[in-house]
Amino acid sequence: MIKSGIPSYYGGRLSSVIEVETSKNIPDRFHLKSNVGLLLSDIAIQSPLIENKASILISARRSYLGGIVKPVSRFLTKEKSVFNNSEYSFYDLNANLIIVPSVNNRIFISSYVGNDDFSLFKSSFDLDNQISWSNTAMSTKWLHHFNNGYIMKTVAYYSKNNLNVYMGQNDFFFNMASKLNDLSFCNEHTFILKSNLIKIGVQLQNLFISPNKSKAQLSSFRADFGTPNEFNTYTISPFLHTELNFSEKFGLIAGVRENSYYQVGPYDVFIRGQNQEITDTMHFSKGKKVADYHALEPRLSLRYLLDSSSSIKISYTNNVQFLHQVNVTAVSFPTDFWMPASHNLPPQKGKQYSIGYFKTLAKKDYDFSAELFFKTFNNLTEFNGGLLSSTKKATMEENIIKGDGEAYGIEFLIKKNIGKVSGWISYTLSKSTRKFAEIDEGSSFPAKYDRTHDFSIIIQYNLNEKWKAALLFIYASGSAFTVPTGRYLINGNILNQYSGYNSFRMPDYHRMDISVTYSLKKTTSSEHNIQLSLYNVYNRKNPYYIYYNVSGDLDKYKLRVTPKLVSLFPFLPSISYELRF
Amino acid sequence: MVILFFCTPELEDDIPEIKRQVVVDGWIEDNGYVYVILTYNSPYFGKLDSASFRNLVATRAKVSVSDGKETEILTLTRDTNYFPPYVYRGNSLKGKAGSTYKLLIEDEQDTLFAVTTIPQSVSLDSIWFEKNADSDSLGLIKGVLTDDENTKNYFKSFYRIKNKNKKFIPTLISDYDDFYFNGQKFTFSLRKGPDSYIKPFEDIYFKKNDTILVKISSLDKASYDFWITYQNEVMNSGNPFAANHNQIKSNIRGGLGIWCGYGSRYYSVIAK
Repeated sequence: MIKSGIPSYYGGRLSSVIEVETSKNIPDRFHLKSNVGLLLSDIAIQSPLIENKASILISARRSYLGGIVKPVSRFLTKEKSVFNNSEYSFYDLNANLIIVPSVNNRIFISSYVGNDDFSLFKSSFDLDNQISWSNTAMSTKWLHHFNNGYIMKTVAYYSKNNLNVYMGQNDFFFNMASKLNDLSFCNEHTFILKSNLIKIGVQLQNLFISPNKSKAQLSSFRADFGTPNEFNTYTISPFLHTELNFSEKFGLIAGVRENSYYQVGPYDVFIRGQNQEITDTMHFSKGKKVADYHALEPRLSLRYLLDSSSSIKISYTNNVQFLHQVNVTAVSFPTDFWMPASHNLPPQKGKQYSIGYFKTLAKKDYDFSAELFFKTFNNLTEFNGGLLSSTKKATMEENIIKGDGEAYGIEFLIKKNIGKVSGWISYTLSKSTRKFAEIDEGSSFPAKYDRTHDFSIIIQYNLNEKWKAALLFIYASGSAFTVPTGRYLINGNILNQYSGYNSFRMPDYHRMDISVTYSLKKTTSSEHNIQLSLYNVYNRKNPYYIYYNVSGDLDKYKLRVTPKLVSLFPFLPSISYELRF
Repeated sequence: MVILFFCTPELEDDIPEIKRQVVVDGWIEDNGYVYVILTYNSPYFGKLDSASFRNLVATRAKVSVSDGKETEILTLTRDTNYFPPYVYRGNSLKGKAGSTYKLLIEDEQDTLFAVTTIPQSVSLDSIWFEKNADSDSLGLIKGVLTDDENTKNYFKSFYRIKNKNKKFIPTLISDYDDFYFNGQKFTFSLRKGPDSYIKPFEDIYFKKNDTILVKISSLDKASYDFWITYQNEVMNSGNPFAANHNQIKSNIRGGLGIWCGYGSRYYSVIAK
């Protein structure tokens, strides 16, 4: 994970980077790893196809978590609230091919398909909510070694993200589909000169986004939403990255990334009158430029070795993000929509400053680090309407408001790398705030995921060749949310009054997981393990959502409002059998 | 393996005090007198009982309505058809389609002001009772409306079952914007809505042999904005996929609530 001093060959986001690489080597024989458990099962098969020339890796995973989500619906049904039944499941599939046509060339072809389905149903109102989201991705990477000091990497990839939200009742249904397609290409040249490195390259990206394509039908009548919003964008990002070691003590990482972003037609810009009626339309034909943005992202990181076991790192990162994640619901659920920067929605920008101290202790048995950071953000977005109001043509952009933010804090980490007992402890103390002119009259408020304290500990214990155990404990301050402060009565119903955006906190999140693995049999060619895992050992009811139960009888002058906290994932024991050969 | 659980978080002690505001629930129908119910807002988690209820009702306000030519001061009356059963009523100024009505409320230190219009009512092409496919005794009210493409229209639907309901009640999903069917023949289905979402309600279909009075009302944009945000709030409370700190769009300056003009037409449907 890279949280500060992000290299210039990564761009397009304000957040951190997680680098995940699959194996680059051709295995010498067939391998299988399979895990069958109570919550989910997975299998991975890796095999050479042509000795030292080609291999394939296929993996698949499937859950059966439907029962886990039932506490939400059962609880709400018991209270005779909205929901009656729910289901959840997911699967994913990976297939990777490695081809080595010559010593100096490697080709990696990867593909991924994943899908999640979630549904809620209330029988008394015949209400049916279904949400599904899926990702499909394919990539081809070619590594060419010109010589030991010059490597070229070329990557082409395509990914497709789909979200579908369906609400139905008897002879009425409403469906909204959101789509994001990404076609990208990257060419990168790396030069290694003694202990220095220079990387130069370019990334090209084409995005197609359809944020809210809607359908609604009542009996035989089909609602007309007009031509759906669609966005086509192109980004060209040349970059330069250097890693220079001036001396044993002093190193510099410097880079710059330039982004040229274009939104092109076909696209319509609506001019609205006082009553929001459309008075004029500017039409942009296919390929015609609607908007463009240019941003330079300098990156700088200095490292200084204090002695053989400790160092200081100072970094500055400038980022730009041309995609806005629009959150339209109250909960953390993948019902977010993506909106690109457009003619009236500029890209988000961020700057990060950090200083860190790093030390190895006790002959490299332990690593310790402490890092201070400060971030500023501009052109962040919030959605100013509800999910049901996002169906109207052009309402999505018109209901997005812009603001700024900042975040700062300190992170500590201590790791034990070797020995029977290993693991790490980390703690972050931080604050993240936002400021929007349309919210709370422009005063600062906590970001939704502002977590003052974030603590985690992982311990792995290898008792002997047969037994291993692991423990995870995490603790985080509750996330911010808006609670109603007042209520009033209209037409026999209670309406909420809200003030102080995100001024309240969910109860703190903490849980402990324990696992124990027993090696049934281990030979040079195979392993059979059985694992018992206990998720949320002490059954902590961690908050997911709070809603307000209104009960009583106005005719009898009785009314009570009770906040109800909904939690998912209680204590979950699970047994799984793992086979590797 | 799956364990049912929920809990009640302790929020009540941390909620700040709110400023007391007057809440207006007022309306004027075409060819009808003015009705205004005034209450006050209250802390969210406060209990309501018969003693505290008295503090919620504003019974000493001066409420007047003007159409630009005539001004009427309303009289507080007791009417058990409404909750709370204290209604400021008019008995001289009647609503007229196409007219604008200004509401002025003076209560202790608060002065509230609102404006509404009564749009022309619309006539349905047809309306009928249709049995559900899987039932001999339950069904929906269906209707057809031809929308005028030259005017911007908002509608609200109500029902009252003869000998069962004392007043008209909004249907389940009662607010319509002609954005979705401008200039078209629009077929709609009506289901019973609850008198109040506070009590459990599951009976959404009309019963055979009932006589159902249906009211289709035209309203202006400000009134529609209030009622659609109101509908989202009361219907979707508890639904994490819809509720998002829904701010109710009031047209009352200096207070909360709604002052709404209705241009209505009435229909009688026998469910058979």
